[in-house]
Amino acid sequence: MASIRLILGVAIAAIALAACGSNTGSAVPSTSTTHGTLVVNPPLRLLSVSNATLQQQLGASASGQQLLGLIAGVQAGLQAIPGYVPSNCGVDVYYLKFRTTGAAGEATESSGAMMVPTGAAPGCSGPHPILLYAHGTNPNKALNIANLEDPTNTEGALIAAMYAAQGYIVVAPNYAGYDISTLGYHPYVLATQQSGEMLDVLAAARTALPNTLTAGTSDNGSLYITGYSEGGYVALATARALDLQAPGQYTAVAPMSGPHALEAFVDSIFLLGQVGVDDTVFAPFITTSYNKAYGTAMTPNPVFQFTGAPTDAYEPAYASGITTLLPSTTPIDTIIGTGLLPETAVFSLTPIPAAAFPQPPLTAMQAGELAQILTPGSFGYAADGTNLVQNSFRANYALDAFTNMDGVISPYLTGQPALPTVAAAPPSINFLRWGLYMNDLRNNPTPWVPSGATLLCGGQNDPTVYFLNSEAMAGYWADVAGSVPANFALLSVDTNPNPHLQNSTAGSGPFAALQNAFTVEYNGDLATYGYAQAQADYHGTLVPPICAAAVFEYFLAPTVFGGP
Amino acid sequence: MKNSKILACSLALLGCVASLAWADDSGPQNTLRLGYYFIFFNSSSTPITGPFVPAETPPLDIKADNVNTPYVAYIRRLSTHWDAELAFGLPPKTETEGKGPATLGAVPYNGVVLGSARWVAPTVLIEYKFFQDDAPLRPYVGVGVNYTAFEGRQSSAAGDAVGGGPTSIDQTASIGPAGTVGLKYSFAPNWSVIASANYALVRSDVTLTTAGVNRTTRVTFDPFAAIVAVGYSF
Repeated sequence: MASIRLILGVAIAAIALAACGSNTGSAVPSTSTTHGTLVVNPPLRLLSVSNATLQQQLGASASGQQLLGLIAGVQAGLQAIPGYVPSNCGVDVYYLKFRTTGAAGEATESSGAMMVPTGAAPGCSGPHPILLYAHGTNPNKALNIANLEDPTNTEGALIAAMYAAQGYIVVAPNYAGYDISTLGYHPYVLATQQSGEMLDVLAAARTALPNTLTAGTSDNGSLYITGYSEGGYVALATARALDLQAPGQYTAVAPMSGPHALEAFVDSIFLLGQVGVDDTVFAPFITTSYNKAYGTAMTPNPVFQFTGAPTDAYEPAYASGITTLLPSTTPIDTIIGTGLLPETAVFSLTPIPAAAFPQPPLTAMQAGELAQILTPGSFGYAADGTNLVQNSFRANYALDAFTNMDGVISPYLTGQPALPTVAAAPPSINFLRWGLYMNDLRNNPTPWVPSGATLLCGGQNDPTVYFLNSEAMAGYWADVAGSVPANFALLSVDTNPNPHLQNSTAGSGPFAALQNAFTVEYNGDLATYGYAQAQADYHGTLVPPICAAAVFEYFLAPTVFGGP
Repeated sequence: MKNSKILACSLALLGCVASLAWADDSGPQNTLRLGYYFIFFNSSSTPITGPFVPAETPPLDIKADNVNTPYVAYIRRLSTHWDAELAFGLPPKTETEGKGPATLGAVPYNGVVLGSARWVAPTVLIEYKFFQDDAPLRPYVGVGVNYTAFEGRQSSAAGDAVGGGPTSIDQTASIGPAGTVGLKYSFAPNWSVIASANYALVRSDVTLTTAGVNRTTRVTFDPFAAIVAVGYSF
């Protein structure tokens, strides 16, 4: 009997070996153009690291050490949550190529990452939730968030360590226009395209998951959505797109520092004159994206006096070539250094006179008032003509914003309480503003509230993507939609009343430890490098890991970290 | 296309051999040998290039594992001092293993068998024999051409893990010079034994395709083979 068992055992082993040593050869790329198709199945694994190796590699840099310290602190803090067991997983990173659609609905190909937790530690094998992540604005066309060997891919390293190594299957697109994409531009802050691409990469990942080299890891069906900056916007747009299909398809959404209220945000720049850090980089992304999305239908269109075409919007020194400028394989510092974009100067210091505004629609008094509003500010203006945007284009946009005012903007001008809604009527003069209105997440045919638990994270002094975006979204849900999402939280990781000074305001509430961690980082940056550099680091360096940690905590226990 | 060129080359060489077969009819003209090849590789590769190849110092290398296989040869006597030999090995399954860091991330690399191929490797040699036909012990030296095709190429599960997914291997056939130094001992009428040391230059361009991504390297195998065999002449 024993010998029969042995023989049987050998036979089974032989079958298993035959199955392993498959001679199927490499995957043949799919020729289907249907969006959501995984082009290469099974996908390429780019990296397989144990948790120890991941920690060792992160520990080699100062920022990596900070991240490890942050994660350790989060894990220690979460011990109070019943049933919580820290997961310290290895990570297998796969490179997904998938079919999607461009800004004008054209079929195209994009790529992205799928990071799968591995290892024998608790919570690292078996069924896992999927965390869908959207990255922030990146001027580097070669960005491949799946390539963790690229030292500039800090966002990839952050999500690998914070989410994949702690038990989420992370799925993140590179976006059309990046990496292997041949689209030639990037559809930017464009809700339909970008949410569509997120759902396409998710479909591709779900196709890929059963076929990977990472045995024993599967999708448990729960979906979490997050992203940073541009990606924060994309994350929220994706939740909305899912809700429009059918509510209840995701457990929670937690956008970080996103420009959700696009119209109000850009109105604050053009009308209120509050130029932000990196606006000169965002501008070409937006105008190119909206011209690709709407240009065919809207240009030339007599309704829009200004179309957002390069020569309409930009000073001649920059207009030529600006539609294909970003994203680029040329480093952004070189682009700015060679004068293809100004570093900070969006507007001219030369005032726009009241006579620039047509009367009607404005009365002479209103024209004077508008001219007064447009008095140049302190940051982002040039006296020597090196500014990016023509005064005539700004005047046209401002006229639109002034005569058709966004509810978020009005209190800044009149002292009235905020009415957090979009403009009462679609913009009718300026093409750019019309595009922003179309993509503003407060603009819904019927009021929309996320069906999943929702956290809006950011920093209240963010000089790049203003916190008013998150506040406007919260206000929209409360005032217009009539109810906030489940377990809703609006979190500023920054408690500083005055970013010029060291912060001494302690954190409070469920995220107090993270608020205090941010304060340590900000105060250190301010003391070492000064205010200007601290401002430059705020959005892109200081907030991301802290908000990412807050999102991790929130996703783990929305009822603990969010409202009722 | 490439294979037909190689065939043409080989035929040309045989034609050259045939022309050396001038009139000399003393003794048996044909010999068959059976024996064994003991193949020792001294392989090296150029750095593997292509998308997503981990940057390692020194670069990732691969090496072929030594292999033994039966040896079969036909020898045509051309004259007292000249022979032509067409030698085959029963195509041996040759395994290629990783040479470099112990692991790539968590994936084992150094010493892991990445893939295998069967070598179809005929060699044509012209040999010069020392001494006379009646000498029992005759040293010989030879030069010629080796052709090697790599059939049945297969990536192992470990090779797939290194490559990042199911991998197909494309490998160009090799044509290169070959040389031999041997000693023949005739121990009975029509029967002999030989021992020889053989070398061939075998180079191949290898393309590894994984999930639509190609990585390439040029491998120099430089096999050194010892042969012992028994021959029967007729």
